[in-house]
Amino acid sequence: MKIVIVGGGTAGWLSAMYACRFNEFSKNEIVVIESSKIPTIGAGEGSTGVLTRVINTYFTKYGITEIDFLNNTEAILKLGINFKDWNGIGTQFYNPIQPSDTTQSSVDVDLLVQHIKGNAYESSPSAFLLANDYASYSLNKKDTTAGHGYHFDAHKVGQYLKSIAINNGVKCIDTEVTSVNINKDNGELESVETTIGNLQADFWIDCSGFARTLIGPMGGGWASYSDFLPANSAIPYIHQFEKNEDIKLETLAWAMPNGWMWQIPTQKRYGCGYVYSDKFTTYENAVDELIKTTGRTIEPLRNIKFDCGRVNSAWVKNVTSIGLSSGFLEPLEATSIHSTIIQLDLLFTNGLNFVNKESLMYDANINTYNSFIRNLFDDAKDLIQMHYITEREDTEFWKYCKYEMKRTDKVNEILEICKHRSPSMLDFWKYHGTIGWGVWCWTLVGLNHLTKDISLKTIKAYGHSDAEIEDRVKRISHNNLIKSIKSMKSKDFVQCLLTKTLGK
Amino acid sequence: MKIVIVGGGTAGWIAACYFARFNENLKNEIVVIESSKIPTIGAGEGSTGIFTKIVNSHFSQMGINEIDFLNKTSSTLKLGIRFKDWNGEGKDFLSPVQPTETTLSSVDSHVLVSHILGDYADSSPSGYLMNNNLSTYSKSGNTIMGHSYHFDAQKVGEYFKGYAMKAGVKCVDTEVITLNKNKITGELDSIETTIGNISADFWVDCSGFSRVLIGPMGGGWKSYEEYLPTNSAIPYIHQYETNETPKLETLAWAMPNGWMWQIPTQERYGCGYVYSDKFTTYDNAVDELIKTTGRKIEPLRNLKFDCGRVETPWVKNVVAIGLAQGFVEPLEATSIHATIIQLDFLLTNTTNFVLEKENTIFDSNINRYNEFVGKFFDDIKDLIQLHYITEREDTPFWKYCKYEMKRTDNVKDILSICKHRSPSMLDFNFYHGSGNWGVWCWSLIGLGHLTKEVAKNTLKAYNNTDEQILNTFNGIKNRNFKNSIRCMSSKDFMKTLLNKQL
Repeated sequence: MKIVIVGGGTAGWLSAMYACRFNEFSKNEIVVIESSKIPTIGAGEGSTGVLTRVINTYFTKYGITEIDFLNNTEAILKLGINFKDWNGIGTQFYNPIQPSDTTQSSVDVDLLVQHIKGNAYESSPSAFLLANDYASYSLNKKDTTAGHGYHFDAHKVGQYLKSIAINNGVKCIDTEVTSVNINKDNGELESVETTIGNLQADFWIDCSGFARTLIGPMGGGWASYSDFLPANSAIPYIHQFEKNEDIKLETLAWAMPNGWMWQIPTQKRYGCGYVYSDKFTTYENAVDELIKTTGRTIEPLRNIKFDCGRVNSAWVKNVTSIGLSSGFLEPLEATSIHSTIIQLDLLFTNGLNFVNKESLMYDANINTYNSFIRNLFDDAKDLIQMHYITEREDTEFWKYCKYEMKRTDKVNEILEICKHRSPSMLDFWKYHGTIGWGVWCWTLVGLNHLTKDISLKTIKAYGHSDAEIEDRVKRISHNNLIKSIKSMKSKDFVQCLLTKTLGK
Repeated sequence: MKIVIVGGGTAGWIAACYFARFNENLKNEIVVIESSKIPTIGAGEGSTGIFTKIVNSHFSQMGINEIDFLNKTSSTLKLGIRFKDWNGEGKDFLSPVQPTETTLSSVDSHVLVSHILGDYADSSPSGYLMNNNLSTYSKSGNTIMGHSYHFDAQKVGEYFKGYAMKAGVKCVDTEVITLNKNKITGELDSIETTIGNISADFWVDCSGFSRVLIGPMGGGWKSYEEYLPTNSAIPYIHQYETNETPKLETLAWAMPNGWMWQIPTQERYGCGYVYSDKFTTYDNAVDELIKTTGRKIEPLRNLKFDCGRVETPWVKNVVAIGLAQGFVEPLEATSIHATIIQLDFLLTNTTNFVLEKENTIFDSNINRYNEFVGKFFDDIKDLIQLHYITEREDTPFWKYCKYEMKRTDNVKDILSICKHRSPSMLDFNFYHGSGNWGVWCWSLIGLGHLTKEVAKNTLKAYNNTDEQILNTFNGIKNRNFKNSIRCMSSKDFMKTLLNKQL
């Protein structure tokens, strides 16, 4: 089979790596079309724990390891997200990569007891390390001590994966798609016209990002989330480190007058951006807000307009869309690279690693894939909306979010449950890549939707006495203390990274 | 709060134990209404691994453990189900309780490798033990791996009753005559019984097919009639021959117009013929039983049923659990399984009914519960339907199943996928209690839907060389061999069990 991947960003080159992985048997011709004229989107990107799994286990035979990845992409660790000012100026909460040890139980006791004590984040080892300026690497510079994701520059990660993919037989063509030729009889995409001529393939993967070069014309359709998510614009910018700046291993998600700002450290600098709503502020005002809130000089890279949503059918005939071309949510919970990986996991499992066209393209396969992806995006949308329902009402934007924005059914349901009891993993559907209680809990606690009072009541209802609660708190503190003793300080860790001495 | 459970079968008394579990200070008054005049349904029942979990861990603080349970209820172990004649006469396949060790991978290499090179059931530790008449107890008397139980519902009900009452649950012997619903709130205020009026804050309907509470409360009904061909059952008891040692397995024997279950307890077999009265009559069904089994049959009764579920199992302050919530034929032992999953979910969502009523009964809680239980039960229906799509077409019944019966979307998808590749866990929803790939795989392979060729192609597509496949196979053989040395034979196990020496 000939597989053509259109677009050479993170999604494109990750797709190429997946296609390589079992190609010794399937022997496909794999081609990536990327245009040197089209820039890769992104000023800093963060991941969830799913990328960590891919980097550490999927591609080891190509020499990809975490340390190699970090050394070659200027990426650094991410222990979690630091939400600043979301529940009013001066408030803060963490959303760590690693959930509590009891996150799969019908009552998440560790999280709840720590919440009652005022330090919910201490129930996560990675948040404890983060809050105390530790890295999740042990003093021997080799072993990891807690769960982490990565912060990276999408362009550099793309290049890293590209060089490995090309070494393993993937071809790369520098061109642009100008039009698509769809077969009138069977509806399949037969070929594309490019600036250098006609290109054919048996199967196509659309990684063209917002352009949706293939899935658009193939009739993928679109379901907008604009009713449910308030932001529609972004101003990315780069911010240099101060001399001797202590880099925290966190994504900063800083609530702003009309949206929020991300700040993602890589080894060299911060990638930042203001995600805002142009219904409540203008581009110029947004830049002013940025300057005023951060006290920085800002040099915007551009002003991006977006529509949060997803395609209705991510897979149509012999074309599937992966990454941004299949859907977009603001990067609040790093769901973009997360869903790219989940899509690829599912596509290559369902597609039997692309052995032949017959074992890849049939209705049952396509339908189960599409309904899975719809759920994945729709569920992520619920989580993102959750963040906007805060105590803030200091601007029209935040008032709108609190009082007028249409809430999703899931958000309504979970917020009502929080008035009566702590939710648990049973309140969320579970599937590969699902974003359930283990992520929701931090925001629910951080925005005070789940109060200490309700948390205590919930634990008591499970028969835990005051003494047991005290014991558990002590045990968690003890375990955290041991972890911190074993771990490097984040400053030392970054130093190791910069001198490429990790693992040595 | 006062909680009244109506019905004292397995579901009712397990529910009572769940309610008593976190009720140490007896904050709630828990009452079970059971009628000595209403018999418990069941001639032998089997369970899934979930039941093993509750016997061994959920209720341990109440004093319940596996050996105590086995000794007091005449139960035996269940290592799996033997499907006999489903794909034509003389063909057996096994559905072991324990899934393979690779069941959660994107390719379940253990089951596929075993399918290609040997007996696929050997990929499950308990499947291998079944194939070799071994038990899941070590020679030193310790339980070592996945099994569940075969039991008599009546005795299990009595067993849990004993522990529930010790924990303070009250029992009233009476019957429900009418319901008093509150006209303003729509809640169930009280019921009239043969001994007078009983009121409660929350009601659990465990009244089985009669659905005494959930029916009048407007639970509604969703029938699976289009998708499942049977609607009748003839239960009967079959005594052991002298010196007969039963196998530690449920026998599910395909018959001309349905199938027969045979479940061993310590004392006897509980059996029953599940059939369709559209294709045979009661009298003919009894004849078919006699002819196929070569036994004398004394039917206990002729049961009519409609497979399906209550549309809304939780309405206001009434929830239906167990048979009152829904019923599918006992082909995969899903009844007690569903009861336990529902109770897990209910008690978690309601924070064990320890909080105030307004923190227990509210719309989002009720909606989420109903959404979950509905989907959960509908998924079970799909699994059951799969068993009827076989190579048999020797009777109009089997022809109907093969060619005319409306297939569920999920069954269609999975069968279509099987033509191209092995399905995997990613093709199923996995949630608390879901019967996914780990269960489906046995029937898909056993009925020939997932062929050796497709299994091999799938492994090859994952870069498995012939040598690697052989290595995996030898690894499984090795593990099984080690288990075979450690484990008691099923005969020795039964002897130890009967002598209460476990």
